[in-house]
Amino acid sequence: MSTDAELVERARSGDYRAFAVLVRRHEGRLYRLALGILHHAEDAEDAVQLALVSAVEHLGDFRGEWTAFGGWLNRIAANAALQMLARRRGVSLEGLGGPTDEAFPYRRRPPVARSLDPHEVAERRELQRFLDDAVADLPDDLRLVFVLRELAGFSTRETAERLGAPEGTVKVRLLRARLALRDKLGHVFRQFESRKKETS
Amino acid sequence: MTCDEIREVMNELVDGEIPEDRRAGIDAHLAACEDCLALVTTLRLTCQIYREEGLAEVPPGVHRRLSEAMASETEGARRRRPEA
Repeated sequence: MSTDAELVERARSGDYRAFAVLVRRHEGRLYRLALGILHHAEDAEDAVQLALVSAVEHLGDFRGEWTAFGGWLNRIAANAALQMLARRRGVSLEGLGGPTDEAFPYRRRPPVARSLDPHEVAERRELQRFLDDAVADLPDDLRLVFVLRELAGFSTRETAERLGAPEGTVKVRLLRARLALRDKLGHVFRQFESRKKETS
Repeated sequence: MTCDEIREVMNELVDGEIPEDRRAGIDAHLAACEDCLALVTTLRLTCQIYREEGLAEVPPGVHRRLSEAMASETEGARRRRPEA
């Protein structure tokens, strides 16, 4: 399987079929990210489309490490979704920047190594869907902070700039969101604990 | 270190962003306090599950429309590209 680096290089050389493979690889995460911000399926789809069009247009500008390509796309999609949200709410776009105004470095956490056992993957997918629903139920201010920090990969400062809120407020909201979501997963953690006790 | 003080750095703990010079005190508290350790562990797990890549799939209709839009966009970009 080609790496992102190989595919981006091919796309930049004019082989846009390679870009289609990149879209397939990243669209699930980008859609989740946009949906997390916008809380509206059609708008999320539009935001991802805008972000991908912008990415095609700016592929030549990409100067990051190839492994950061996913992070670059995340930021473009998050900015597109935030601009859409601002338009929807009729608030100033100041501070959001253009979809690709983002400077490097891309803050991206390394992927966590996970089992590929199909049952475990299905279980984790189910949990992630459950969490997505729980995130959608969070109040707007908590949801936005959580999604921007966890999925878009923005730092506290970057999140604060985009939302026009003090960094301290962002930290408080992030912890409140995390605690609320952790409580929603309480039953999962209890099962995990009892399984651990049974096997020990 | 107290449980309240741990709570103040909870985000940093979850993100693994505790400065080196504060780690010893925090580690000592977590080794002695089951409640704080359980809180950090479950918060980390919650965030890991949410962030895990490769699980989410777009609805089929969204995938089709995105693919069509991108095919049209990349075809346009290919035509605009100067001949090598």
